[in-house]
Amino acid sequence: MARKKKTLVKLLFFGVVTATLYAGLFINEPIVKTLCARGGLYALFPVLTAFVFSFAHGNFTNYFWQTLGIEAKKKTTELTTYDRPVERKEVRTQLRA
Amino acid sequence: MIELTSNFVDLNWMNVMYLFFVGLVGGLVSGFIGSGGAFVLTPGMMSMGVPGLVAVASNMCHKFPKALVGAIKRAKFGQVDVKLGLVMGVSAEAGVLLGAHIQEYIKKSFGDVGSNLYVSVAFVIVLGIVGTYVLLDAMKTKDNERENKNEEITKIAKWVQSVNIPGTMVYFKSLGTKVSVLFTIPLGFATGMLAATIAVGGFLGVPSMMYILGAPAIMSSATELVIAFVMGMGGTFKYAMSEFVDIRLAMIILAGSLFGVQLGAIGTTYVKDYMIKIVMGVIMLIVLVSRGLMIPVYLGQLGVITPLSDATVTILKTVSFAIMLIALLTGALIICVALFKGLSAERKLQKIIATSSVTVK
Repeated sequence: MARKKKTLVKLLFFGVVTATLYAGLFINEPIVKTLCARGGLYALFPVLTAFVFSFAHGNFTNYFWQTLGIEAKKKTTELTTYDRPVERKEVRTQLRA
Repeated sequence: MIELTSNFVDLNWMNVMYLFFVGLVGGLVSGFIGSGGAFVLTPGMMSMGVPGLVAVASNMCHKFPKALVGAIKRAKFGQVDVKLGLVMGVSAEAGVLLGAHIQEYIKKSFGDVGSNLYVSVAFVIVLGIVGTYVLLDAMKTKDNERENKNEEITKIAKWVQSVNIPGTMVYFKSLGTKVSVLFTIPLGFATGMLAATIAVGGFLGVPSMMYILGAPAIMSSATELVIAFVMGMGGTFKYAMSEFVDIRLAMIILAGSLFGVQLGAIGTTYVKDYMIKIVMGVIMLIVLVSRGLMIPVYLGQLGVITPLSDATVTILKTVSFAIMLIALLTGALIICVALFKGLSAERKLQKIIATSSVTVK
């Protein structure tokens, strides 16, 4: 339960950050367009923007799927199948010549 | 100021929603097979009136952070071979530069139609060969799974792994053995050249890691994300220096595709290896048909054959674009079904574990 609450808090945090970033991008559209069209060293602007957005939005989408309960397959499943038949070797009396 | 921003289109809500949706589906496929998405996004953006070069550049800008997020996610599942990704990524970067020069040369000599024809023919040839091979191999792998056999590596991969060239041997964890970098460099280079040509280097990168180097399908598709990151970041910087990156377009696609790429990456943990191959093969062959339909249009425009009527051109363009969307949606559907089947099976199993008295390590 505590884990769920933590995920929800993180989801909300990154959700707000992502929404703010996107709002900032589109509210300041003329400036953004001009910065993109400057070229030269201003090329760092789109590269850094992409990094910042992907960090915030990437985390948001991660917690989004986690909150919905869509997570990667857990390793424990493999362990249970592995534990059962493989390690139980058949013991037979063997003939020794 | 007006002159500076003339490369960039005005965005309305319809355009934004459309880009978000295409990004979402593209991302889903991308996270699952380690490539794809870009081949529908570039023409998708162009159909909105975005100039071709801006579409390619913005596409690249959305791809590299997406690839990074996907790579980190799949690295947590132990699927990424960072060393192989970086080695191939650097040579892919060189391939991108040469590919871009070839594109420029064709555009100068034959105009936009020439470059469209070049892109379409490359799609048909590459997808025809690789798509068929991947699909045939998927069937073989499926049979092996039924008989509980491990994924076998090809004869070529066995030979590549057996060659010892002193001073060039590097250990790669995805291969579980040492391989000469002299083999990985041309593969990375070709991947980069294809990425610069048709925007999807993974169509060559993933199968080459699987069939020529001998990496498992799951690790190949995950490692491709590292290559895409290295290639994409270098390419974005290069294009941004020439003022071709529209960050607004890139970030809208990113918004949709990050949802998709994570779901696709989660999906890989629930499916058998052959499933990734089937999805990849099916998408490749459907896209092949889509691009193939456009070849007569470009040949007519170049004057190689009698030009087609305007009505025929419109029909072919619409059908081609629709088929491309169908390719992505088919892939997305296969992934979603596999994912939700796997999820419900996992939940049932977890319930049994929770209720039984057996303790699990």
